[in-house]
Amino acid sequence: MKLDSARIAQELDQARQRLNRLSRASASLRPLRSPATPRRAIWRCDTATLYHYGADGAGDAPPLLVVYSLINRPDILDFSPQRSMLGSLRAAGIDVYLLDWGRPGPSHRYMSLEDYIDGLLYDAVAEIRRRSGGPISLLGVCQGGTMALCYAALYPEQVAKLVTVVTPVDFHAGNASMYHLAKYVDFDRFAAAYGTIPAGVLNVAYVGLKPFRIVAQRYVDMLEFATSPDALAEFMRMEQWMYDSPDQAGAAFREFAQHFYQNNDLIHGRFTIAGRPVRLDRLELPIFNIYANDDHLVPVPSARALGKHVASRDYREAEVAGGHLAVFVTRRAHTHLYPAVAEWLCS
Amino acid sequence: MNQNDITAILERLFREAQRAVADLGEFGRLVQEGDLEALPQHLRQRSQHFFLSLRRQLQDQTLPWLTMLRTWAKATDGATPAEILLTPLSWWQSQASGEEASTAETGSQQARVEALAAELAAARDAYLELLQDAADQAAERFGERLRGLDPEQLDIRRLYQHWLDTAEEAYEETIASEAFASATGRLANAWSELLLLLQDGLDRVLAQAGLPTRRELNETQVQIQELRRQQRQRERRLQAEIAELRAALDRLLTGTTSADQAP
Repeated sequence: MKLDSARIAQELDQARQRLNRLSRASASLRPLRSPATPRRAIWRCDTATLYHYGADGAGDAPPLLVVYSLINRPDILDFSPQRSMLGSLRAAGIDVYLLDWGRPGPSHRYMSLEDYIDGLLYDAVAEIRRRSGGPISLLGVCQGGTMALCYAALYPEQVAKLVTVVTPVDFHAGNASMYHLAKYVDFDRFAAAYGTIPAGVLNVAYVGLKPFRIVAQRYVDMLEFATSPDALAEFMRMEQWMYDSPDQAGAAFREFAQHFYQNNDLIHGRFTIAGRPVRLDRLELPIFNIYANDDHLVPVPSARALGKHVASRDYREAEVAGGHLAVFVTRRAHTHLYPAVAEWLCS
Repeated sequence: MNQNDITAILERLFREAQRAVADLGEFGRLVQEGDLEALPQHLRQRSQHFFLSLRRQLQDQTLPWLTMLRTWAKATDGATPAEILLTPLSWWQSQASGEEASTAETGSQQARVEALAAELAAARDAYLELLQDAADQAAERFGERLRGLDPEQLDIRRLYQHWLDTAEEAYEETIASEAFASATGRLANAWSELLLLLQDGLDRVLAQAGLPTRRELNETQVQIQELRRQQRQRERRLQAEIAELRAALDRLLTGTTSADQAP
């Protein structure tokens, strides 16, 4: 069985020509605007900044605080005017705030989950409540969703509604590849050795989950659309975001890996903050849980486990087609999902 | 994002795109050189070269550290402070000692370093062996898949896509296995121990020279975090007091106004 040799040569030649065209197309690229939606920094503490995006029109919904993961930067929530979760919610009349955790440095190696959740998040919520005078809603993304769940369980009187987006809840459910990676790592020694965990170490772990897709497939595919300036600009935004991860505060990283990934303490009611148990079964507030049906980082059963562990009588779910990032980048999410979230928040 | 950022991203993007085209080209060359039936065997050989080279790279990365640790260990097992201070300068000359070369050295520090070197090498080899097994599996499955394909319907891009899909599938099964979880943990733990032993050795040298050590730095960082927490508590108390005072002032003003308005 053989392939036509001349055809192979022609195909490879085309690939090289595409590479050259990519070179020419990139020469005309201008700096990309980021963030896409206007915002104002209204509060800063340590590494964290609280941004206010405001609202288009005067909606009745409580202000919404978006809590992102510690692992990556929240820029993906506001990539471009066409692909902006924050912009979509704002346009739908929601008064949007974003807590940007910033970038921990060597002096933050002992920052714990308590410092993040009962410290920075608590203070950011207090700042918004000082301005609005009432409860707020929380929207947590990925690890930020887990942190928002912890916060709502600790301070139910402060949170009106909760939206969780691609949020792990049962860390051992489904094809739990992250749990498998973390299972036998001694995180006490790991965090002691590194202090602040370098972003590069985590990037290797994440790329290592899908090396053929992320390393080979991505760039072969890219060559096929690289002559379109818009598509190339989108790709570059994603490229920058993927490798622009902050280092991790050692203590918080160790606690998250041990309590959540290794011991699955959240669903068993064993996780505590400042000596207070985080009990999901006491969460009675309205919850909107969004997950992606092909998410290799947060498998569907991990995200959907939330419904089984909370006491909320107003619990709903939405499934997005695609992987972990589909929730942020697909057109359908922006045309259908976020308007629905906004409507739910206003109801 | 400024123009420099764009340049940096573009450089990486070109590097990766060039690598992808080179990979595709290599794939095409393998197909051109032989029958499609021989392709899985070529891919298996290619992966063997890759993992051998990766093993050498990892070995090269750890060897200088291990050599330095060995030199220090020899010095610290009964050495004078002056000898300890001088040993970091000599480690470059003794790299030829070999990674797994366990000698009959005695002394607790030397034994610790040799045990670590052996564990690091074993953990690395066990990890790479699993990856090689995954690559072998991928090649075998790719062979099976090829037998079901029609060459008339194939081009290099489609063939390459079949390979990526098959390889990812085999790799995903491997990383979901208990053996891979165990190997990953073992390698990460051995690497942590290497770093901790290096830091311990460096600390002893720095302490001898009267310079700040990592242990001292850690203590400072603990204190900094504790100060942040104390400051946060003070600010919260202050905010609460201000809120109380404002409320009291409001009550007072309201009372005064009411009294003023009273007949």
